[in-house]
Amino acid sequence: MQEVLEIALGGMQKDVARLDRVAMNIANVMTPAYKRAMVAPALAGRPFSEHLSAFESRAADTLQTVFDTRPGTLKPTGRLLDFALTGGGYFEIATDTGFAYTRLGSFRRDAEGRLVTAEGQTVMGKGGVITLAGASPKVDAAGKIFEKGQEIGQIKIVHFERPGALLALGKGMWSAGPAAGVMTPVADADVQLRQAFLENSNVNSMHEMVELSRTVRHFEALQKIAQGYDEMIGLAIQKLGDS
Amino acid sequence: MSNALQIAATGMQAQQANLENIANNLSNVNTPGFKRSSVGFVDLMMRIAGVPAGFDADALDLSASMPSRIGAGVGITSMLRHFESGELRKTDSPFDLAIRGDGFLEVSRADGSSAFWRAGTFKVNSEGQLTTQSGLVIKPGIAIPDNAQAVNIGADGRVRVTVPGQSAPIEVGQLQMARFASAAELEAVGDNIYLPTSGSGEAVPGRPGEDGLGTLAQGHIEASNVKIVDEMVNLMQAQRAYQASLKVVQAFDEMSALTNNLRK
Repeated sequence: MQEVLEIALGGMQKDVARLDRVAMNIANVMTPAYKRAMVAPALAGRPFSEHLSAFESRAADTLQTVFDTRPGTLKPTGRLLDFALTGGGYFEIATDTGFAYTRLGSFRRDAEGRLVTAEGQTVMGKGGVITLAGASPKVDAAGKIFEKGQEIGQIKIVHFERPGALLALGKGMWSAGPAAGVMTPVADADVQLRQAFLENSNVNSMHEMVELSRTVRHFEALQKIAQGYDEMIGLAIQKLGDS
Repeated sequence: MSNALQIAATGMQAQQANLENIANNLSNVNTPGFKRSSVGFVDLMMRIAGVPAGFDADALDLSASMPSRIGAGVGITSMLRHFESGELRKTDSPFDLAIRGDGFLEVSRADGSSAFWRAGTFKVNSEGQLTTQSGLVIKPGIAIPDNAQAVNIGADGRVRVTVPGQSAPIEVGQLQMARFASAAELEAVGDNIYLPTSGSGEAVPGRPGEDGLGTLAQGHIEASNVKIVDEMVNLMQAQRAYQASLKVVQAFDEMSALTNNLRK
């Protein structure tokens, strides 16, 4: 009989976790290059018998978060050091703890003229750190940087086999774990870089609102189950205890 | 219970900061030489401190169920100041000066240190020096003779005065300009005056028109670079994003009420 409460509790906890994800997505609806967090049910696409056995062993009790790596739309900003990747691929950034990868191309020059992120971490080019002489370079669709007609470097763009398995570090950065697969540099012909644009967040607020509504109603339904069970037990104790 | 409330709170705070920035930009749409700023958003991730004491991490296999970092909402990285030139408006006043292109004019503050001015209305003070409206001397201190009838500043920075008795104007000095590796990192102290910071790099002096520096345009004033249409669109987006986070707070509140009413 206790099963009923446990099932309701498990369901309610999952709903709370869903709410966390919806909150995160909605808060980041205007964050450039943000990838929305999706809930991946642990046994999606498996036959029903596996669901039942997993239920018995409590293996499906947790929700996995995966990130939707589809590119967002582009926003023109007019800043010459803002870059957006219209296809796949990531910029490589040198941080204190190793290399990180990002799609947030909002760069600037530091005091020594190097190309850095907004946080001051250097952006890697194919030949190392990129140093700009002026603040208005021309960058073509393959990431080649031209100043006064001369090519002075090329931004390094890399590709992962399984970008959905990258670890989110926050601030638009991702770190490559073994789950992400092999990292390969993207060929010039396949890079689609746009200068003076930023990639928007790929959060669809309509979808998030529907998810929010559904989560709250599901939670309410489970609450009713718990209440109903409570009432039944109460009645049973009362009736049986009276005699 | 969950982080949803804190996450939604960061969402609302970020949009509020966005709104304040937009309000600042819009209120300065007619300020000569004003440079608009924009807010940069980033997602925040919180690192989970680890396994609580008394638990065996391996036995629980926490790595599969608990990620090492969970979402903590949205944060603001920086206020980016955009230094693109505003439109140059012809005023025909000989005391208006604008810079056509990049660069700053160097001025001396009261304590002798250097500051950088994005040009504007100037005047000649009682000692015959060219100064800004607030009295900061434009470097190098060019002396204008008392009997000067007109002051002419060329596009290349050469200052010429017309004195009675001389048919041709005489040259009294040359204005120098300066540029920075990263002008967006300069600290604004008001009145179009900027101070260098560690992030902006050192001031690189030069002559107007050379090395990427702009030229001077007397009789013109640089308008604000705020674009009303862009700011209005941003305003609408900020409002809707704020509303969306508010809905999450309301949903969380509803779920909390439901939890509290589990037991009558």
